[in-house]
Amino acid sequence: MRFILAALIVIPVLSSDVRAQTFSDNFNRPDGSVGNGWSPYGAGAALAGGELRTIGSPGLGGGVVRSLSVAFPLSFSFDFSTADPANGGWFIAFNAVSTLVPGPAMAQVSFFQFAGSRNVYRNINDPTEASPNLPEPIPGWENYGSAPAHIRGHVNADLSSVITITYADSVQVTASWAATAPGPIGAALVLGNSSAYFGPHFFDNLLVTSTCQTTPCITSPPDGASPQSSFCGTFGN
Amino acid sequence: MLVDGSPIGSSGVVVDSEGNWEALAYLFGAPAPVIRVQDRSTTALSNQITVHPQASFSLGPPVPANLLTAVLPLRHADILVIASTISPQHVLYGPSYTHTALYLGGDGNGTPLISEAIPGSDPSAQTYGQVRSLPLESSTVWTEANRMSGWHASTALTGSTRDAIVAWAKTVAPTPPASLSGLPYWNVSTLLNEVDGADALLVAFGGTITSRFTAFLNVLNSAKNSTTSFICSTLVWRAYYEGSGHALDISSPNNMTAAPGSILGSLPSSFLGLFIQELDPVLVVPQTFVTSPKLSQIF
Repeated sequence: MRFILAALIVIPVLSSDVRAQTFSDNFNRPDGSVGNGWSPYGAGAALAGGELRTIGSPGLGGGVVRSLSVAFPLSFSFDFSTADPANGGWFIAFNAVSTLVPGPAMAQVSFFQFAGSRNVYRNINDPTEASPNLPEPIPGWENYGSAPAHIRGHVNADLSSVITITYADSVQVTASWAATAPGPIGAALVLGNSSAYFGPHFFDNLLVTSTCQTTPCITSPPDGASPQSSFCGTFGN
Repeated sequence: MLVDGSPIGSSGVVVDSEGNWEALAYLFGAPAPVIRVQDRSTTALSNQITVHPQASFSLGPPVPANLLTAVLPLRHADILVIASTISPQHVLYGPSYTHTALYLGGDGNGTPLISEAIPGSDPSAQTYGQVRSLPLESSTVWTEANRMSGWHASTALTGSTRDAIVAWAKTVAPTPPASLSGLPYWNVSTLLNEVDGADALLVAFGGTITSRFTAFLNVLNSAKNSTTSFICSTLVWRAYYEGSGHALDISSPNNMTAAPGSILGSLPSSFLGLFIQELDPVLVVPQTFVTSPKLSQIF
């Protein structure tokens, strides 16, 4: 089979199964500017020791944003640790319109948590929905610390969602949400802290796997990539 | 492959039996081009990505004239073979191609990468090392060649074999800064001295294979099989050999020849065939690849 310019030769049709589109960043680059298409926002972020080091600030938070359009359903995961356990929390937004500092980014959907023992929020351009929506600190839930916890989530096409947090001591807790209508749809991925406190707050091993809704599908490079070349090596299925 | 809605290349991109495709798209001239692919039978369009390619432009080899789009079908683990008029190999055996390298595919940002081994005397060795992986337009494949060709295995490789070939190459030929303290090119004089020495002995002894002649060949064989130093062709050959689990040896058959006027080409015709026959198993050169029935030319 061949792809090309509105071509003329009749060829077999591609299968219609869905395709994966993956973006990952382990932040294993030299200390300093984040690179890889990311830009800092809010109180700032930089690479330090192979991790993304973000700074919190009242009304600002801090983190990074990059161009990345994703399709749902998608799965995501990252590691999170903090120097301020009582106030260390994370924030991630998909198809964000902007970072919209201060406050949560306007996005198709975003999630955040102010500390490990507190509720997790799904934000669809307000109102936010808490899960498990229990009094805080939630029994059995733990604050984050210097050892990384693993946050893993899955968002369906109807935006019903599940997030599983695995704390550094292997204790697991889960938050979930029902289907809902999307927020305003942009084209940015936002990752940062949700903290009014300096921290610093650390991220590592980000992985976003979304479903390419099309066949054919370009799976690499990601939208917004910056090849150091006049060429771009692409692949897909 | 569509860039800003316009097709590039003349023959499209091939989808393999595993349902995957690759393309090396030329983008210069548009600051933020939008890339899509289109199924020729259904006209279905892919998702679109906007990329931001490097703004600078460097002219590659003049041949083929359509090089910028000829490379479109390249897939990771394909082989580039190029000709340069400044190579000392011309003196030795007068080849039509003098350098080879492995195409690694695009990195996470789409930057096309090349693995190659070049002599320490090449100016770029100071910046990138001798056995290195680097962006296409920084490689000698792009900067020093007069002519480029692309090759792939005649029997299609599986995706996992391509991955393994590239992974092996990246291990021995890392990107800078690791490549700056990485593995070296052969001692530059090894190839010429050993071949010259064997040549002289063969002539001196009237075509008789002596123990000294065999010793020269053994040095070449040891160098060919070394994994601590490489020339361009041993890097590519070994990557294929290791990546295929020793199933694909593109050094055999070795159909290299010697052109009239070169050192080897000046051998008495009665000795030349014997000499080349003895060299075949111990020396792999770019000419080996372009004459191999195990490889087919892409452009």
